[in-house]
Amino acid sequence: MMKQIARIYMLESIRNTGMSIGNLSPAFIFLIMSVICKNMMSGEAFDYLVKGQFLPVSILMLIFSFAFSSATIYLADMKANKTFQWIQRTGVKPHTYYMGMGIGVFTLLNVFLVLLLIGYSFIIDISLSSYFMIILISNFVLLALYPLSFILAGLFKNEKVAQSMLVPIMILFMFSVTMTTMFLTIGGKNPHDYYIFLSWNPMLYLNDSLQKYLNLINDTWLPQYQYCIILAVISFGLASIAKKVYISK
Amino acid sequence: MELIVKDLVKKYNGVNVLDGVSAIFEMGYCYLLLGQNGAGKSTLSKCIAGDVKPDAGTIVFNETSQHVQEQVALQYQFFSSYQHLKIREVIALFTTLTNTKVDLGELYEILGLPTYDHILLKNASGGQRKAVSIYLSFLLNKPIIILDEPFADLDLTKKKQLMFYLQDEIRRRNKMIIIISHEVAGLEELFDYVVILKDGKLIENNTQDELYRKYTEAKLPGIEGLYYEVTGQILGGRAG
Repeated sequence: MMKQIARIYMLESIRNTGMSIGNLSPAFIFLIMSVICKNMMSGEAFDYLVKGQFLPVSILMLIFSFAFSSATIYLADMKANKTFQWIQRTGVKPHTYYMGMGIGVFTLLNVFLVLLLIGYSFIIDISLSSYFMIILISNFVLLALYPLSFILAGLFKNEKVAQSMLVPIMILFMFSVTMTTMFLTIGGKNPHDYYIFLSWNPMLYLNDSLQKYLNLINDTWLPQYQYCIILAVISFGLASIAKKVYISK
Repeated sequence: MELIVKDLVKKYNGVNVLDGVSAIFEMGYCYLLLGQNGAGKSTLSKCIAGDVKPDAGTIVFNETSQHVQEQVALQYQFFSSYQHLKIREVIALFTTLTNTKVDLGELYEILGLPTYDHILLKNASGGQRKAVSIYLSFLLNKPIIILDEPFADLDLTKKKQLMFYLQDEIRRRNKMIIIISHEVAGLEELFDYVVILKDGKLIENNTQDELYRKYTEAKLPGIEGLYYEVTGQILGGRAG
């Protein structure tokens, strides 16, 4: 049953061409820009630009748009057109649908993440182990964000509202980490000293891990295994809130 | 087994859409729910199906008020979910989710699904979406089925075929079917009971024979005539 739900989610996501292109293009635009820059720049500056900006933003955008925001819009749409009422009457358990759709979301993310990283492997030199670790932490970040998509979809009236509301949410999630890090670095301060204030944001753990795997920093704020634990705890916490949101509706 | 609706009240913005509705619906019968737009037909259906929580009153099925909604399949007027799936993929999904073994081949044919089950739902017409909606309602395999204007987009032959199918379902599987419909001409024999709502109040709930005995002065023939006699309004127009 979960396999069928996952298949349906993937099929709908891929067939919705406009949405797929819209969600994939931000991540792949940065890859194209990297290719262009490779022909204009060289050496350390180019490496820093791609590893410090283009690749992290690509992955952040991929997770956010393709997996998180499209899942939220998909769910908000399901809510608006009474799909949940239909599903409820089939007798399928909510966690079965949650897991089934999750398999679809994670499969799609991993397919496009691997493609994106293969693309970058032609431009910059990153070890195979780093690639695997990037994929691993990306999956943990999605694990934390996935239940949030159910909460947001539960709160928004329909997909149009969800689409508009996701823009400020994306800005909050992405730029609260990248901008803070950049400004603190420019100001000569260690961003790690301030990360405690951003510990609510799953993107923090992704961004910090990417910096490490791309050899831009020597150590992450906390050990990697702790990042995975924190993200798993966030995921379980948000999943229980998501369950409450759907029961109350 | 029976479905007992007692003193049901539902208000929207201070207006009583359902104003103390009480009725008993029995298994093995077909009920025709009539009323003008805004009379409360859809709200009553949604209350029974659990989509809308009534402000007051009780709904009891099989002597319990718990999980009544789990016994009800409500066919919404249109099926708008899974826009990027083919109709047959949607049906396959629901067949898996419901894990039902019930044979609906005849209904599939009656609704004309074989001719357009390969198209994406986003490209399906209103009638085709309604057909999907009706099919899924039966696929859910619930004892109580509420259908909203099921005959509206069917030609005369299909209407008759669907009517015979519904009669067979009621008798053979002991279902209770509640139908909201403004199209009743030629389908009278399907409806065992006629339930009439007006301004949120239930003003009639009787067999056709009882109603014909009660309203002997009907100026129009059939159920339309009964409806006119009871409400002073002509049956028809858009679904409410």
